[in-house]
Parts: sequence; C-alpha cells; structure tokens
Amino acid sequence: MLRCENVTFVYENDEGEAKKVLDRINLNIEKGSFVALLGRNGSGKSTLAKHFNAVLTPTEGRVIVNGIDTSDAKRLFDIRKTVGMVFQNPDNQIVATTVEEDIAFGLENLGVPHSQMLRRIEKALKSVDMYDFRYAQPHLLSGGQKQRVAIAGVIAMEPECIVLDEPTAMLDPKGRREVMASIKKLNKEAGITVVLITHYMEEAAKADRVVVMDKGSIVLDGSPKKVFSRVDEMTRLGLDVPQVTLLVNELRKKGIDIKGEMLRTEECAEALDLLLRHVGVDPLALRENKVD
Amino acid sequence: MIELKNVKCIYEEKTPDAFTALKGVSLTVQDGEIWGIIGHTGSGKSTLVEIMSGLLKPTEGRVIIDGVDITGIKKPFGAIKGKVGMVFQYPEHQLFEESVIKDICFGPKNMGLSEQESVERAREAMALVGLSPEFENLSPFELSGGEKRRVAIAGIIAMRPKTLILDEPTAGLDPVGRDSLLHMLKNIKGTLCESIVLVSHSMEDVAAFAEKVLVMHKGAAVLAGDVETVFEKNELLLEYGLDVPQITRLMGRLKKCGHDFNLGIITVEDAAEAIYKKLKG
Repeated sequence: MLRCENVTFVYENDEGEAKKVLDRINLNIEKGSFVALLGRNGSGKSTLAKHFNAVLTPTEGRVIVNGIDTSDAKRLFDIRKTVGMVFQNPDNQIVATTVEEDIAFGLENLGVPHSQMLRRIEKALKSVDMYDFRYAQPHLLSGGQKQRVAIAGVIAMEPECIVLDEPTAMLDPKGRREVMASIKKLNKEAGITVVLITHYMEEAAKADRVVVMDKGSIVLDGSPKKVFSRVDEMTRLGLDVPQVTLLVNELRKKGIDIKGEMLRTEECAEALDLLLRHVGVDPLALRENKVD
Repeated sequence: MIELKNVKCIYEEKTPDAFTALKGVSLTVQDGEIWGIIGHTGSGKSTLVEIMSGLLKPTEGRVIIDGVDITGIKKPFGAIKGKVGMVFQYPEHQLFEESVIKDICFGPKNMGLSEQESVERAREAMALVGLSPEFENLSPFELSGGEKRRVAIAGIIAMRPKTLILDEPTAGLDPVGRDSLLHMLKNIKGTLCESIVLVSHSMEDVAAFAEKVLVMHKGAAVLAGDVETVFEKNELLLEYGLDVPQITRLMGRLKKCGHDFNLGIITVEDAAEAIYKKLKG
C-alpha cells in the first residue's frame, strides 16, 4: 500500500544550513494494517508522515503509494484521494458552520454529485458515531467529537489509508477513548489502513505494528509486545512504555519470575493473580501448569 | 493562600445565551501545596483557574488571596501582583519580543520594577527553567517548541508569584520534554513559588506530580482530596469522563480477584514494592 525506498529528506533552514530530517528510510506498510509511529519530538516522524500523501516529496529515494510515485506531480490528486491526513488540532480542520456541511466541503472539492454526497456523509458520520450530530454547530462540540468530525471529513473522501498525526494530543481522557475507538473501528470493520503518530503508549499498544524513529532513522520495528518489551532501549530513546510493562520489568529486576510480555491491564492482572494465588509454590511447576 | 468561597460564574448572564460555567465551587489552596485540577473538556477547569488568578470576576461568591478579598476590587492586578501567576495553554504562542531576555523582562517591568531589577529576575527565572545564558539574546521564535515554552514560563515566574497556576503545561510535549518540565516545576516550587496549581488531562502527570486533586464535573467540584484518595475512586472518575493511571486500574483488578491491595497506589514503583512484598512475604 505504502512503500518508502531509501527516503532521505533534507531541508534548508533560514541560515542556509542543510538539515537531514530523514535518513534512508525503508518502510513497507501493508494494506489493512494498523501501524503506530513513535519517536521524540524532532525524530522525523511527522516529516515522514507528510511524505505519505505528497505534502512533502523525498530529496532522495522514492515513496510509492499504490504503485504511484509521489514525486509524480500529475498524480497528486490520486495520491491525496488514496491517503487522507488528520492533524492534532481539530479546530484548524473544521471549516463549515454545521457538521454535515463540513463533511460536504471536501466532497464538493472532489466534485462528487449531490445524490452520492448525502450517502457518503451519512456513511462517514455513522462510522465515527457522529450521525446524530449532523446538524450541530462544530464549535459547540467537545474536542473528541470535533476530532471525530475531522476524521469523518477525511473518511467521506473514501481513502484507502488515513494518517493521523497526534489526533488525541489536545483531548481529555474521554475524548481520547472515543477517537481511539473510532480509529480501531475504521481499521477492523472498514479495512482502512491506519498510520497513527502518538505520544501515548497505551494507544500505540493497540496497533498491530509499532515503528520507532530516532534522529531520522527507523530504530525499532515490530509487534507492540516485541517493541515495548525493550524497556531500557525505549527509555534511552526518550519514550515511555505502558505502566504495566514497566511494572513487570521492575518485578523481574527484583527476581520475580513472570512469563510473557505484558501490555494490557487485563493480561498483567491475570498473570499476577496467578502468582499471588500461589505464593510459595515453585515457579517452575507453575510455568509448566502443574499447579491449579 | 487562595480561598474560593462558593464561587459561581455565569457567562452572558441575563441573556438567552446564559451559560453557568461554575455552580458554587469552594476550594482552599494552602501555601506549599501542589494541586492538580482534572475534569473533561467543558467541566469548568479553565474558568476556575481564571477566577483564581483574578482574570475573571465570579458572578457570585468570594475570592480571597492572602487574606485580601479581591472580589470587590475593580482592577485586582495591583492586589494580586506577586501573589498569583498564570501560565496559559500553549503559552509559547504569546511570545512577542525580539529577544528572550526582553520577553521575560516584560512582566517584571510591568510590575514597575527597574530595568536592572527586571533583568536580574529574568536571569534567575531562566536559570530555574533550565535556559542557559546563551539564550538571552536569541529571538524566541528561533527556539524549539519545548524551549519556547520554557521562555513563556520564565516570563511568569520572573514576577515571583507565590502561587503558580498552569493550564495544561505538558500538552504537545514528548515524554522527555514532559518529564523535564515536571521536574523543573518541582524545582520552582522549592525556590521561587510556594504553591502550584496544575490543570491537566494527563492522569499520569497528576499522579506523579500533584499532592492534592480537585475533580470538576459540569461546573461543580465533585471530588477533592489527597491524590491517592481521589484515584481510589476509579469507577466514579470514569463516570466523569476521566481515567486513572493504568497502574491504578491494575491494582483495582487484583483487588477484585481477592488480593488485598491499597487502591491508592498510583505509581509503578509503589505497585512493584507492594506486589513484591506480597510475593516474597
């Protein structure tokens, strides 16, 4: 779906110094996958994301979206239709005075006929559970609701992939849960490929794959469990890991034998419950399930 | 000390658009305390801190700062200068001067301090927020996001407010930026400012930083107390559209399984300690 081949991006700052933001990135994002992109501020993750729908094009190397090279200016329209972007601040992304009109704005720009437009708006708003608010004024919505409208605006254009750059950074916990639920639903039910940039490790843990960037390069790439289990490395890269992963790491350092990698509260509770119910039992016996 | 007594706030009162943002909130911030204020968007947190800092007048109720009732004073700036300082959300958007030092001096000069005193205070503030002297003559617009935010905070603490109020100071920072900002606030609390009030959407930040927590919901103060006692009320907080740190949720689950843990555990270190003790007796 998305392929980066040796992508290098260099920009010149005001003093004319060349700065290398991306350094030979190779990455292949498969159709229908849910990828979280992590890294410190300035690691290059937003710059990389902007390459996915040709907001930026590489200085060296190529980015291929569904077989189209993003450097091909004639195909810009097709690329933008395939990959949609959602940004941090929903207030900067909403243009119209009602929710419905806001979604219609993007469709009008695409030249979608009116009859189809209504169907697409309905579908998009339902996919983020905002259909009941179709006549509402965006400025009266909560942050989470506004961000879901912004996502619906992108979804209505029926992209195959959406790239979200810290979509929950400005939201309260409830808003974050709502937006994450919508993102998961779009991925699992509608099969839309998702690239999520986030600083919240609990959100990244929900992805199928985690890609970690540092100083313009990809330094870790794998399942959330694989990546987050490297607690010391993640800390060195200036990133968090979920609190339960840290806890398990801490307990292991104290000599407690816990099997497996832990990301979610439930699985960690289950493992600890088992240990706590068998205080004093040989851990080896426990591991081999010889004890009830 | 800041005392709010039954503070009500109605926007656009006596118009069809009247909106009650605060429905009678009382709160006392004692000298030396660190408060975290949590609540979902629209719960009244920002209105509350604007009233605490004298920027907004309550419709009813009283605001008493160090024994002085500022509610009746038309322009309270004189009465609160040096008492309360407020750092808004994304404060870096408010930088405007041509150099870092000039920007930080703006507040102290406005208080009527001399050029020399202002520069002294600005330098002290810069040191506290971790900006080295080389930054003095740089344009604030050349700096990174995290550095800009430090300049903005320095501009407020240069006025040496007894109580520092910050609205979402960690929003948009990465984990390292966030940790170093919270660490820096702890330093400020020990030196320039006596008390800190922090508005935040991050339960982890509040758990790691605050000693006391106030929970706002639909314009009312629904929970207040020590951080441990507030986060114990896991289910209630979820009802209010909030959350508790993941580690607190884990302890809740273990407790439901019949293990006797204190639900007020809010940090990974405390959790590891408690579980280790139980496992190794």
